[in-house]
Amino acid sequence: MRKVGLVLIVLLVLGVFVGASSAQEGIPEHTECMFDATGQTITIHHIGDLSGPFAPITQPLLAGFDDAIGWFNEHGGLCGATLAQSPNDTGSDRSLTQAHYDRVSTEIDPPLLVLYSSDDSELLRNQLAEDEISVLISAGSIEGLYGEDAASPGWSFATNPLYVDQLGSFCDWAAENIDDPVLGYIGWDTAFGHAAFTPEATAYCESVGVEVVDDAEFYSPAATDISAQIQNLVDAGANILYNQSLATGPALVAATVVNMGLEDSVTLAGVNWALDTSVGLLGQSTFGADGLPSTNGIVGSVPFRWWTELDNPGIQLITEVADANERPPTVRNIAYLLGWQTVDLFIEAYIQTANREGGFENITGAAIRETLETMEYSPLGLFDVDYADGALRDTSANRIGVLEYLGENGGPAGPDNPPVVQTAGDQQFLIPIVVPLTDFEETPDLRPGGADVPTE
Amino acid sequence: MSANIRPAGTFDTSYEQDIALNRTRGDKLLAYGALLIILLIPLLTAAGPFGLDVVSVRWIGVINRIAILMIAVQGLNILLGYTGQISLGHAAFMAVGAYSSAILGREFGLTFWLALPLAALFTGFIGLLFGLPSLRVKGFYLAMATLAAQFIVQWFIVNFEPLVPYTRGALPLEVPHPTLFGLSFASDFAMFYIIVPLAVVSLIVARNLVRTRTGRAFISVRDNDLAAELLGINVFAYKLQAFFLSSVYAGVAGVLMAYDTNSLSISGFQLDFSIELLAMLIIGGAGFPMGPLFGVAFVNLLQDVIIPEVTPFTRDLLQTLLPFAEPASIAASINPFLFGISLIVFLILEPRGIAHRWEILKIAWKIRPYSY
Repeated sequence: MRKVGLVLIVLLVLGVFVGASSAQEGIPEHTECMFDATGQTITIHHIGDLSGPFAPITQPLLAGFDDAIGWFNEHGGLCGATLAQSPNDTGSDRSLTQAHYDRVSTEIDPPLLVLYSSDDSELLRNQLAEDEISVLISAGSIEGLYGEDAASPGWSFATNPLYVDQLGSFCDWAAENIDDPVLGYIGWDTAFGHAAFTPEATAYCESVGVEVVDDAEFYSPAATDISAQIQNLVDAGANILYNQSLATGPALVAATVVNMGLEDSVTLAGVNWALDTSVGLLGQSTFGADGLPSTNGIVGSVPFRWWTELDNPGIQLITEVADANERPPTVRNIAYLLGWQTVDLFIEAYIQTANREGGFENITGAAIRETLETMEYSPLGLFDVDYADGALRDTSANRIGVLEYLGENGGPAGPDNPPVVQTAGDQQFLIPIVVPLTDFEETPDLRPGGADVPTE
Repeated sequence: MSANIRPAGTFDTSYEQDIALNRTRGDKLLAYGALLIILLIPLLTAAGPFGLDVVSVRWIGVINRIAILMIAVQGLNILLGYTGQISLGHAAFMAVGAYSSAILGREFGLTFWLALPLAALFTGFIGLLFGLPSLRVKGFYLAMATLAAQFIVQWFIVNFEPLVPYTRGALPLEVPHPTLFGLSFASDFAMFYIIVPLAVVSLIVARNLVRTRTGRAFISVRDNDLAAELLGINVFAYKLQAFFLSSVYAGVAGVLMAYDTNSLSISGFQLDFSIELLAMLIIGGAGFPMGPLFGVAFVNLLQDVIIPEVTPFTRDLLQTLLPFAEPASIAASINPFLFGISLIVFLILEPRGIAHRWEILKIAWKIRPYSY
């Protein structure tokens, strides 16, 4: 225990030291304000599921918004204006999404709105265009961003790559790193869960040497037994299970694989959400033969900088604030980072638009859209925004990483590096970490008719 | 029922008076006045032709949603409230209506005005099919049979290969705007004048239905199916009729929902939605014609209007009362917390539904001052 304590203290001191010394240095600076907004309050309105299946992800998102807004307000706000947030919980109910949108769009009419889920962006796509409201979203369904024809960029701008492109990225990696790769696709039986399993993605994966099982398997977010779905994929020859779900979803797949004794014969993989801290924590109800949680070793997309990359000034700042606010490990997840990124991008979009339009009072949804379409910016240095002069609505850089657990010697836990066990109250848990396996690379464009879709 | 009660000294003097839906001047004033006010609401918004901003545009959307769900719950009322047959698959029947109308519009170029009745009838026949088990089972067993409908319909829409090119499986489906003589019903304002009249018609039909031979047969089946059969009522046929009518209502609601949002996804028609519809009926009062309206309005106003309004205050209050709780968790708990508390309190105080309380109030008013 003494060793564990020592490692934790070293990590903490290192983190605080690095954070304290250079938290703000090296972070991409906002464009200089040409107009002063002191005395105003600018509210970030967001609509999403806070109490339904997305809750393990979205509750930390609120914490991320809170901490980011608090920090930016302490450091000058938005050109002097005070930032605030107004969350609207949908519980994953489309009619509530519609109700919240009606209220916000008619009574507040914000030029820029934040959404979380593919389903919401698909539902509101046409209405956003009619009402001319721009949206920042951390979801990547083709229909939500580009419409049914996949060629009509809408008013939503994603802060991650399309899910279908993420699958293509993963196939590139799998073709080089897994012997005779056969990918079985398993996801939630929702629009999000189905989003990456398209003929284009399948054709691309096969073109780079990854065979794809013809029939994908799907399960309800409320499902507790998915052994039949996994057995079907394994029977069809899958040695990779690519999971398109989040929070409890990947944890259930991982636990089922361990319980079925398949952990040595399949590689677990998934969309960017499948590598999240929430998955790493939820996966600790089932342990594999190696003594590590079932979720250890999930490979997937890491399209922005992660908590472990303390050499990144943005991560240093976020860690410093999270430490200062005593954020527990359950909060230090992908969504907390997203909260920060979104607030930073929101501020930059507002400043650039106000500068161009001649003041904050002239900001409209259409003006924000124009700004975002041409913006080249890196929110807190965590990822790059470049929507290619309006041709794109998603980010196009991705890298592959693996979800592992912190070992006592500093790196990922393994046979020679026992995992660090953290105690919080009467609970003990291992600390999930994400280790990048590749550098950032351009994702293939796998929209229908996309540049990288195999022609034959 | 208050409809049968008249103020002291007021008598029917003709058959017309005897069969009228609104039998007193007060009833008529209330019904027509309420309808007139509702129909005027869009004209008082900024979206109206006069550009008045007396009422927020948001209310058009709120009323549209209430009206659509009222039609769906009215269908459930016919089945459960009048005929005593439970259904846990009502959302699936709405999905049938929504998808079939969208496919008719997208793939076959049918106008909304043709797609609506065709989709409603088709939904009726699908409902009829799933009503067949009602011949042999009832109560919880019938609930299970209709639960199967929920999953079977969902599976067909998402996974049945011959259908997937039309339904796009679990992916969203864009639905065209209704048009009439070149006019597009693209806005909430325009859709209001399709949705609300249909909801009014559905309410009148349901109110009349209980007074017909069929309606009385439904009620006898609900109250005692054995006795009904001994009286010569073909119980099975009437149960099937109830399933058909209920599904037609669900189909109409599904069509309106699809064309109102212009976007369709199977995620909007899951089991929890079926249960929500059932909850709305129970809150409003099963077996009362006005029950669906009250139940849907109560739930929607609570969720769409009241909870968002009180959320900031409640969040601050809870953060003060529970300083140890994570603020983010508090924010996420408010909606289910307030909704759950309201339902529990309501069901304890008025277990027979709002419509029952409404009837009591109306009777008390009509027989005043002789309340005993």
